[in-house]
Amino acid sequence: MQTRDRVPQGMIATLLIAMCSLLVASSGQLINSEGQAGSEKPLPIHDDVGGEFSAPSSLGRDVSLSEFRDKVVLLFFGYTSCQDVCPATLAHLQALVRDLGKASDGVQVLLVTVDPENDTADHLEQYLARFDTRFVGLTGTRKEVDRIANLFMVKHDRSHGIEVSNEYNRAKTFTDHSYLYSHSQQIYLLDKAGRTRALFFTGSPLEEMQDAVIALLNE
Amino acid sequence: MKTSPIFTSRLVLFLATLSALGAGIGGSPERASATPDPVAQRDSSKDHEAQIESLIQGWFAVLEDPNVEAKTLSGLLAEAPFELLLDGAVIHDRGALLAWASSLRSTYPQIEYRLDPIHIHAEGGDRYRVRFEFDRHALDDAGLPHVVRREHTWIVQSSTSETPVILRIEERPLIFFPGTGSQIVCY
Repeated sequence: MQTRDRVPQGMIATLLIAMCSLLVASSGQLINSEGQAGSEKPLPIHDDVGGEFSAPSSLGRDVSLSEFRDKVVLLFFGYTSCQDVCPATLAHLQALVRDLGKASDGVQVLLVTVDPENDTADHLEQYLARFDTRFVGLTGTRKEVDRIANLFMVKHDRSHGIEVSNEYNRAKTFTDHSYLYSHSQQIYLLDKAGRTRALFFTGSPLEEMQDAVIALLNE
Repeated sequence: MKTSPIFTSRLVLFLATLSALGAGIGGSPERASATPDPVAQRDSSKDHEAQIESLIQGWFAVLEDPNVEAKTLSGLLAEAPFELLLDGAVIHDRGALLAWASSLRSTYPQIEYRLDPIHIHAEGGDRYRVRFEFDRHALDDAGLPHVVRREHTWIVQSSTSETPVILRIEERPLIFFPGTGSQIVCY
């Protein structure tokens, strides 16, 4: 057990810790501070996050996560009315899949909408086709979507009448029917068994993401 | 299977503290004073906090060390009633606690806990509320690393004359990746 507010006192303690670290590292069982076990080690399994789910999809039928058990899955939560971060994230995933080439056959991108009232299965199909026809969107009732969001600890909140303060936003017109979603922005990387192995963001370097995807494809 | 020297020394220290506290039960005379002494109160509070921290470190040291019998955990609990909400299970008796600990050990032959700072608040009387977050890094039989991040809230009973005991532990899973708690607003 380690307590993170403890500071090693003196050179002897530092040397002892360094020696212990070297000993453990040489045994091949060191887990570093990021929870990863070094470049040659597998990505960690994050036990608390994720799980099996099933929901209506842009394929015109219900799909479950287990259908993609032979693929590495990149999962993202967003909504089609979003005009900046969600399409930027999907464009990022589009570039990732494109650069993977043939290996992308083993990758599945899933978008779970946080706006199921608007994002029907048909609407998701049309929207995702702009990025990659292989991308699959998931929708359903509010309860179904919330269940998936809870599995992945995703927060989302629909808001009306948001006050805006910059020029960009002042130029927009908000009506009684307009709304915004605040939602978690992470991209979940799931292995072929559907387990969460890493998280990324729109700004995550593509090379880093590709390395992780390839590592899971090779498992 | 490895045991870190740091864990072992913490465990030995914890067990020694438990032993010393146990030996001292009923042995220290109470201060005969009508008005509370602020210095004595502060010292007493620090003593309680140190004992509670030792209790917490002892709990996790037992979970980490496969050479220590899981039933040692029972000694850290109040006689009754107690309630432990761990891994989604509700535990009210010592048998269930041992089953839970055994299951954890059989699933993960090697476990390491990394505790964030521990926050202790006096609830009044001999009750203390303790909150902290931690990461559990474990290796399964196949050598795959498993990581969870969780928050614990403990209710501890700690009096001047007795070793602190656990009345309640509530566990809550947290997202573990740095910087992922934030949300964005999509326009």
